[in-house]
Amino acid sequence: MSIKLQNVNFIYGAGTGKEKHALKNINIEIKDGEFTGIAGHTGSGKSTLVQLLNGLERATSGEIFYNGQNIYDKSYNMRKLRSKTGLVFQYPEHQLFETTVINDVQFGPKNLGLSQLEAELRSFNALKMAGIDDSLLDVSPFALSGGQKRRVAIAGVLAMQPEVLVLDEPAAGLDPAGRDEILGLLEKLHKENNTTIILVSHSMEDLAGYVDRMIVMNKGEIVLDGKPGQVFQFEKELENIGLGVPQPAKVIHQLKEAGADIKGEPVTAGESIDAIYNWLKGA
Amino acid sequence: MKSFIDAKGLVHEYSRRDEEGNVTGIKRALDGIDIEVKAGDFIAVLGANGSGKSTFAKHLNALLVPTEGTLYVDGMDTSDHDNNLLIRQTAGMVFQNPDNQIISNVVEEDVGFGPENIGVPTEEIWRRVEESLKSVGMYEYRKESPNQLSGGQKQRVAIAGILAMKPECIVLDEPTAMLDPAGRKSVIKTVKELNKKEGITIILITHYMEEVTGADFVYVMSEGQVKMKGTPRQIFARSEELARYRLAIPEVTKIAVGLRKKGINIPEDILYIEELTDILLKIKARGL
Amino acid sequence: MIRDITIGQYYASDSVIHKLDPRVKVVCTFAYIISLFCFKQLSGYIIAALFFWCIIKLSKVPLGFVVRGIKPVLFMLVFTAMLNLFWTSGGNVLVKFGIITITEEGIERTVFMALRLVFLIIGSSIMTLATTPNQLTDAIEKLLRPLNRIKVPVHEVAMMMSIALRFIPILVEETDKIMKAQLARGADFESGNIFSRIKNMTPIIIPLFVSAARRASGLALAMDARCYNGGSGRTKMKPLEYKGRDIAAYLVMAVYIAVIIIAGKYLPF
Repeated sequence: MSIKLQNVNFIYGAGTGKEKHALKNINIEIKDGEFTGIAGHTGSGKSTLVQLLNGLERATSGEIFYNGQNIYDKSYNMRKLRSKTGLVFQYPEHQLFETTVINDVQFGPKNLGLSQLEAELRSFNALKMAGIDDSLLDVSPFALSGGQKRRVAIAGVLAMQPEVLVLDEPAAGLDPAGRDEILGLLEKLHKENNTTIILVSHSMEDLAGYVDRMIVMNKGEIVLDGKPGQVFQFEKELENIGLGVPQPAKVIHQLKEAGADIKGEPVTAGESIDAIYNWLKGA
Repeated sequence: MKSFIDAKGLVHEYSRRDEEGNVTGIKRALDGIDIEVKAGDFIAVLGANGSGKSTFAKHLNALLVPTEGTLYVDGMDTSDHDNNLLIRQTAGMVFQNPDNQIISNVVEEDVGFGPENIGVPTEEIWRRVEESLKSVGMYEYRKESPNQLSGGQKQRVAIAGILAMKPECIVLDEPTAMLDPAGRKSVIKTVKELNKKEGITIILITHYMEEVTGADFVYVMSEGQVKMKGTPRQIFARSEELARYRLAIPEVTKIAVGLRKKGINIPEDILYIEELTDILLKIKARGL
Repeated sequence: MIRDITIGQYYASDSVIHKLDPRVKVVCTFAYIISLFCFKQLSGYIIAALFFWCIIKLSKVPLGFVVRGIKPVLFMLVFTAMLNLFWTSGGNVLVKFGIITITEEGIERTVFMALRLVFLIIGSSIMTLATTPNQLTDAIEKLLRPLNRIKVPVHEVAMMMSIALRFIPILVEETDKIMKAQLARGADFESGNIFSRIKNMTPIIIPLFVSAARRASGLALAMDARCYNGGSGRTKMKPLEYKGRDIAAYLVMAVYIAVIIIAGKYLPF
């Protein structure tokens, strides 16, 4: 199973004199069970890219294959695709609308045509996974705190049990603890359910500690693609496109430049501590 | 010396009401705040979501008035309604969402909105608009529509809109929460410059630790109270306490703390990357 | 689709039209709209079309951008056209099918009515494309000032209009985003009868209202923070003063009206 993009182009506002080539000749394959990060600053095309993945936007040219099937085939069921690739938009709490938390989460499963019982069951599980306490099920979603709202909104997509979960800046605006909770939830989903996760963010720090693979976009093109440690080697290039590298990677780069013989390519604070410790001890 | 901002025992209560207007519950958003700020300082107020930091910011601008206690801005009592306009000119406020604070469809007209409101003569408005836009580096965008600008640029326009009222202090309520890293950097750089070059008092409210390293003094808020105060170094040396208030130290400080736990003799209050690498290289040269 | 609405958007440029006093633009737009109902024959349409084509050229707004403004009101256009087509009697009957009768006069009226509406929409969108909401507010405020005497809150109304215009593009974009988010949750906005479709809009409308309310209270705070205190004691960054070109514009408009009226009276077609 995989998602494959072949020569995908996307042009906004064709024929208005204000055209914008948002995606240029994108070729990537995202494999089943991968935890991929897509980084890029505002307007780099990363949000457009993920909207193509579940058919909300249609590529101007090129093909997209989901599990080997071309999603632009006439016979392809687009609505089914939307239930398989769950897309969580930025500030998902802004889409809450029902009278109670549980009803809101059930919106997706019900749209899939599931029975009341099945929809409820899935919603319970999704809310539990998202760390929402049972006592909040019958509360109005508008009465929750910011972090709780965000988790309820994510549960609304989880309840559809997608094979691929795509999240656009899920931690934006949350405080450090709230950020760790959301990213920790994704890590758990990835490890325990083997969900394929695509995490879109402009924060290299958020991506570094979690993803297996990092795709960096700039001006509608993929400029870097690899393990976080490899991608962060291109510190200057990343800074030039307004991204930069996380502080731990920077520390390691500076030490290496000063001649330090540090092993590996640590990217998080934890990894850096071990690497620096071993280097200091001369191991 | 007299303090520019002086909060003593500041309390703010929000009351929840039912449909008939009867009070059904009271939430204490601020619970006895004592904060003093000297003119020309760069102060940071750190706090998690719901810690009361935004409520405090609104008090500084007389958008809210104390339930108990007092707050003086440049000697003016914020609970006296007659002071409102003067307080708002003295301590201008920049909000989190760039779209919700830009009123006009043209950058320069938006910057002129504040001066228009306080009755500045036309030629003087133009002078101020030009000056303010130049000092935030947005002068060449003066004829543009704000919708064409990036988040960081919009926030700089919002700052210019406040500057045009010639304030002595600017209060920024999570100005970077909705921005990308480049936008965040440009806004913080602008704010620091205004503090250094023009001597404007800055009160920066945020939960991003990297942004407060340059501050003169930091207050940490949680549950409506000031829980910690000190210089950035003093605050960052207390990482476990910060975690209790849902905050985290910068990654570079984390590395220093981690190494110290492993028995390396290294200070815990590291703020900058160069600082850490210098120390590490010295330790390596000297041998453990 | 929903992003295509151009009514209420401003298109930055330094054209003559942009530089005109906004009062000129408001008055002339009204005069132009009235003029559309002053003629019945083809020549009038040609003159009106030529006139606004010149205005568009002068304004330096790309034609495509202006025309896009018609798209969102296409439904209304088709609807009125249908009404005209089926319910006009008189003239040669071309088709008769049950209660539906299509006559020659019906077709003529339909085409002209549709043209008139298109001219009207394009004409007024040129005004908003070439005038910033602030200028528009200033113009309306100044033009309607006499109403102040009968206690009409002219300044407040003008301010509300200008803010509404500023937030239309933002709310349109937001609607698009909410719609996509609900589509991603399997929502269906396209099937079912009219009632179930309206009901299916709830997941869009409620978040949109919540968001609009949040923006409104945010904006109110921001305006308070910038010392907004109603119209009294306010000065203007761009005070309105008529210049030579404004007088010229009024003259051009008067000539246009005269031509339309004369053409209506004396031209044979």
